[in-house]
Amino acid sequence: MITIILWALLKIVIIVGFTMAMAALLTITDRRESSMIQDRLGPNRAPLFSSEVWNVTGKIRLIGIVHVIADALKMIFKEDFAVKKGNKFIHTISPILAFSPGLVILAVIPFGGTTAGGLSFQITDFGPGVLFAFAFASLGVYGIALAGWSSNSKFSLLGGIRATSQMISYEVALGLSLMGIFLIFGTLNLGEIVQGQQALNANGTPDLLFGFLPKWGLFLQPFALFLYFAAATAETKRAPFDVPEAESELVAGFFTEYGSMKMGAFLFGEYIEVIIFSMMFTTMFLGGYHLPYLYSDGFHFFGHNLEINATLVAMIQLFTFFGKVIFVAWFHLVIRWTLPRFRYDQVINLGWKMLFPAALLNMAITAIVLTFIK
Amino acid sequence: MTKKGKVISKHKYTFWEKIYYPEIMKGVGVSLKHFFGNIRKRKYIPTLQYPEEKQEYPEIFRGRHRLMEREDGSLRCVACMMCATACPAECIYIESEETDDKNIEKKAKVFVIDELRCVFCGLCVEACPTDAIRMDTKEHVPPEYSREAFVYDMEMLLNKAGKSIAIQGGDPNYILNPKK
Repeated sequence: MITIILWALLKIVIIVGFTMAMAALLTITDRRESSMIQDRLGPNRAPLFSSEVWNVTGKIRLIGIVHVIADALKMIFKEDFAVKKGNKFIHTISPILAFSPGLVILAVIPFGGTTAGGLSFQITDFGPGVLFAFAFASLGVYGIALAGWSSNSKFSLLGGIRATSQMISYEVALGLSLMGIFLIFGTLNLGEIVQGQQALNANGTPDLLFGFLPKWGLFLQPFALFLYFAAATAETKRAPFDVPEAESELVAGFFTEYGSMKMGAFLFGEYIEVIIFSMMFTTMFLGGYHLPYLYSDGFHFFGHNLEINATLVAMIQLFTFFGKVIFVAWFHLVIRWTLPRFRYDQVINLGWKMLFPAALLNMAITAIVLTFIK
Repeated sequence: MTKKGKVISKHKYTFWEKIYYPEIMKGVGVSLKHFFGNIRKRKYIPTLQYPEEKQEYPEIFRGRHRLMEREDGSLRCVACMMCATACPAECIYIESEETDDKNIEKKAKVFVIDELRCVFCGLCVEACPTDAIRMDTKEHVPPEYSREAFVYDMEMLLNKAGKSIAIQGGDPNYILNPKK
């Protein structure tokens, strides 16, 4: 009993710690990466120890990572103000409402295989895991809509409304684009989806696509990959779908009237959403924690087998998952800094007139093909 | 009725442009080219990180003044007032005194330049017949807390002093080959 509780706590520490650390690092990665893409140097100057205060020679700058600490300190010590004619209570709780639902999704994400002792790297392994994740991802918009309303500002209200309508438009395409995956693996359980993407046949040989590709969502549903990427990028409310913020139109959108760490919570929540998006994308399309040809009992590479302890495999898979998540988050940032923002009507048109029918079509084709195969 | 104005034809989007993803990938390609070019070697970044990296000023840059010395360490200035006369901002003040040297008539007792009044035109350097004043330090006048501190006396002007072996009337080689 005590082992189970300790193991659960350890899992929570690992995944929440990873998410928080990555979200904090994404703030500086976002700025440095954008600067590299735009031929600038970006923020790289905040020193860890000031040479004047600490009497150290040279400045430790860690390629700008110290800026994370500097920014957080600045935001925490800033004046915490609320709009006079707004609703102060809702104004205060909405950053929390926008920030926290993302963390709940971590409960259903499988981030490593099963160890030799039968302990799995997934906080809760329960049936409708994907529905749970979608439900809580949508809940985040309540915080944003309430923030827009309680600020008593036209810009904020418009931002909140835009966020809501965008969420409604893209939630449909998001869910439908993954239908093909659910049809193929016949489950909504995220753990089972990941296991299905790289499983062993009954006779102990690897279950491969065309005899050499692992059955990752990437190869089974290449069309859905693009649809999901677009829809999920819209869900994270980052460029090219950042109409709720839209600096050039709405000042800062729903957090126009926010300052200090309340605004920081919105920004941080956005980066947590990026990490959650990367985790869901990895789980659905990139084989989750799987390394190609590495199974729970070792490598199976075209008849060549290499036995590896299951616990060691689980550890390798843990780091594989984190590596994939970091890669997807990085690529997401590249997309974000490549594309300009859509106009508001273009966003809604794209969601309803292109992604939604395309996702429906993808689902129908997948269903027909599966009927003929099985 | 004749048509007025220019007819602008709209860009017809091809099928591959309409489905958007190939165009996105092209854009991502450009982003990645710059990202990987810059992350390793700063291939496209022209930025200089100022206090650590400084841009080399050109040879003809007119920086803060300095006074030059002779081979034996004495001041080259003969207090002829040519620079003070040439100065359009009237920022140079010189007082002369007697000298034991038989070759020159007098030497400077006080030599003061008000760096706030100076317009850095370089006329004093051109006017000087003995190469006693130069503006080749490639330095800016540093900030000070008071206006008085910008009035540089002889000691300040001499702390960057160098031995001049200048040829009277300028070095023809330098003028013909400025790079050298």
